Amino acid sequence: MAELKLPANSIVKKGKTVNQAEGNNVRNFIIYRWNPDSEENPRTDTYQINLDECGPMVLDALLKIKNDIDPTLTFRRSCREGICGSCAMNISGRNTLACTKAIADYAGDIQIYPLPHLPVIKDLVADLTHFYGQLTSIEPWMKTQTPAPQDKERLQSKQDRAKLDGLYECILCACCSTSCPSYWWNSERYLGPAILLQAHRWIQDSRDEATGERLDYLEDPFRLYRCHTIMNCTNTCPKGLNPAKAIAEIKQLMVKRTL
Amino acid sequence: MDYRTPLSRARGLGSAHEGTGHFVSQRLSSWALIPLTFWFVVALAYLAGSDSTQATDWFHQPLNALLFISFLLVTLWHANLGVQVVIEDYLYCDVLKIISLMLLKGTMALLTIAGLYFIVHISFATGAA
Repeated sequence: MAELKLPANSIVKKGKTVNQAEGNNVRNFIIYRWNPDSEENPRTDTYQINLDECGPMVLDALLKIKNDIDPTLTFRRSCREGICGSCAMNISGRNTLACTKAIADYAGDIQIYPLPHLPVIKDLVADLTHFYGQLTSIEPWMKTQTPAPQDKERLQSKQDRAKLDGLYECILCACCSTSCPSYWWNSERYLGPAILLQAHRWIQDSRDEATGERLDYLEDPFRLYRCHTIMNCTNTCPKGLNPAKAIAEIKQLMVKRTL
Repeated sequence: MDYRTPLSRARGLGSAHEGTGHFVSQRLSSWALIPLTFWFVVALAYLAGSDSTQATDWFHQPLNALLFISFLLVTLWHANLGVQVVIEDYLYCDVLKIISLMLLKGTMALLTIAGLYFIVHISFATGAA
């Protein structure tokens, strides 16, 4: 059966208030903490930040905490401009990128958790090993038998190139997949919205010669058809993409090739 | 400890190469149920105020009997497909899953046979009396 209750050692307990900030513009950041080296349950610690002394984004607040208050706080970050996907996390109940989400977008306390339903490595760092394994499994590169024209690139019409819009922009942050209840319950076999959107990116590419093989790989009650059009993926995508539409288009192609 | 590589784990047992038929059946049966359910509600409203003779007379009309059979078959088929998805979603133990799916299919088959029997019985047996 699907596990609806957390195991006893995963129940999140209330932690401590780490610091007291001064000023007129103080906000509480309630952050999930878990250290694999300790025997303790995860907890939520509260950090206070004077926003007058902090950058505008949630990632700025996390960096301020790590630099000035608590260097043990662990999270991924890199580009700080929404292109690498490293700082994907659950902020006040919604998966998003800490670097492109403004603190001003939230009222009251801000709660920060790792991406849902993934194994936690430490604090806000989730284990994406299986997610990347699934990405590799769809072979996200161009597959051709026909050699490329000599001294020229493979040509593509403007119309065919336009079909990749809304697909190629995905940064694989995993916000969508980890917001999807179907992925929560069946991530072992269901590929999830991010990987299916990537698969569609190559299915749609007019230069690729393995469209049928790609559809063969996806035609499975679990890999593709666990999508029940819940739409959390589209609602949460920090890049404004529509994975649910990409999945629907794959399903349409599955039907089309039987007609 | 699982020493399989992430790719091996992701590929698992490979593609089952099915699911599209289930997907199409679910959509087609849901579309068919829109007019059939509307008709069924109207029929229920009509039959609500009638006695048993009027009700059996209503079943004697072939169109009514055929529509009722269609409504029954499509509803049970759609329910079968839907509950199958719920079982696949939430049951992880293979034995429990197979038993549940067999129980589901068996129940739906029995309901279909019983429903058809009663409709045919009302339509013909009473009509002959």
